[in-house]
Amino acid sequence: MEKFNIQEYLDSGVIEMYVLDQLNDAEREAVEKLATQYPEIREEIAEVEEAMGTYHSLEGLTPPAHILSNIMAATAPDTVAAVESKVTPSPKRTLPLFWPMAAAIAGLALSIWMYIGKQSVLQELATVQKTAEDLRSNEQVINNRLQVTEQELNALKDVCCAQKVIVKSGEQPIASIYWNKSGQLAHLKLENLADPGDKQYQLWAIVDAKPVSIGVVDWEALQKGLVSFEFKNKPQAFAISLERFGGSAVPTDVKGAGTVI
Amino acid sequence: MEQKITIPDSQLILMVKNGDRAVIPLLYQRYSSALYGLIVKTIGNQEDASEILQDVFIKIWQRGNQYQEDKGSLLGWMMRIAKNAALDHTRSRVVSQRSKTDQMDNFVSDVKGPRSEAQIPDVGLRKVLDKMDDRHRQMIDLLYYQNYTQSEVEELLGIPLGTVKTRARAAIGELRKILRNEKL
Repeated sequence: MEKFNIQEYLDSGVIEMYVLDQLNDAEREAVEKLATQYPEIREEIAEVEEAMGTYHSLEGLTPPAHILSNIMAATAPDTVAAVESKVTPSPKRTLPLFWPMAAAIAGLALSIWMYIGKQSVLQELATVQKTAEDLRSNEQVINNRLQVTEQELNALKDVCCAQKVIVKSGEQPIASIYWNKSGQLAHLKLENLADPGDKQYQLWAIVDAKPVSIGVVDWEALQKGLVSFEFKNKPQAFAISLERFGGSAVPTDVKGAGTVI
Repeated sequence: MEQKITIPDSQLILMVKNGDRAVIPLLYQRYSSALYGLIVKTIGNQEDASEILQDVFIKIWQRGNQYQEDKGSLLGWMMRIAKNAALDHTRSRVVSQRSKTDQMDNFVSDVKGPRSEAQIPDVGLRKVLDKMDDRHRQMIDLLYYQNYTQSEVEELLGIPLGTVKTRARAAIGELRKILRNEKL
């Protein structure tokens, strides 16, 4: 059986005819099948398609500005999902009270158990003291969590229409942005971003389909809690990129993005 | 010059397939000009093209999980959706009773006529158009935008079928060469 000659195939002009949409269904399927088998054919198709894409742009025609907004509105999740995705302030005391209450209940249960077990008062006291020590050792962790939670709550209380935008890399959330719809502030919260090392993360808004820098991220501050940025435009999405220290005029290494609903 | 986000296609593809809505403005920024140009040149007017472009992006979003990257590029897949939508529009509209020649006249007068300030392409793009052989541009326009078959072009231009094929291939080759030289 004669070996398939890729170069001969590429030189035959069939790829150009494929991209110019001049093949029948069977011929088209044959090209696509070969593309799955031979990377050279797939790359050639991509290059010709790229050239045609540029050719389409050569007249400099641009769609009206409102089209993107219409598309975003038409593809918005249904009302229920939209309502769910908007962050509503959660009961303010849930998190701060959980650990002390849990510890207290645990302590009480322990005390009853010890009483039933006829342990000495001293032993009971020692156990209570141990519980107190545990509580104190957890205090710093709880305080840190409390600080972040309070910052989140403040960000949400700030306005009537605060919205949470989750910035994802693929399906993985890497950060959250509480965006004040009245157009003053964007609060960034770390979810799952790697240490930037000697580089710096930069926060972007996509406004009218163009990236607008909101600012570079203070990594140490971000680890402690929310970092706030002044931001007055109305974005369609937010994005986070990794840039050289000090930031970049344009995003060069985008790590993820999240849409404003 | 418009700024471009350099998020790689592989990431965009992942977002398209995962139904991540954040991909829409990214795709729009990168490809709306190409898709809009394709639609305008295919249907011959800008008025309806905006609405078609809108529908195309919605279809891209809805059909994201159907895209198979091993069969071709993301741009190629989107261009096929855009072209089919433009052709459907051309077939369905009342004025489609006009002949292809009429459409061609309309296309020439509408797209190649005087432009508004916002539609003047930048110098780099203009150079590509100026450098291309008119016969090559005509071949791409007839085959791609006007959806002529090669046999119809043979008849229309009075040239052999072999010449149609050769010229079409040469047109793409010339376009790629100019784009490479202009670093576009």
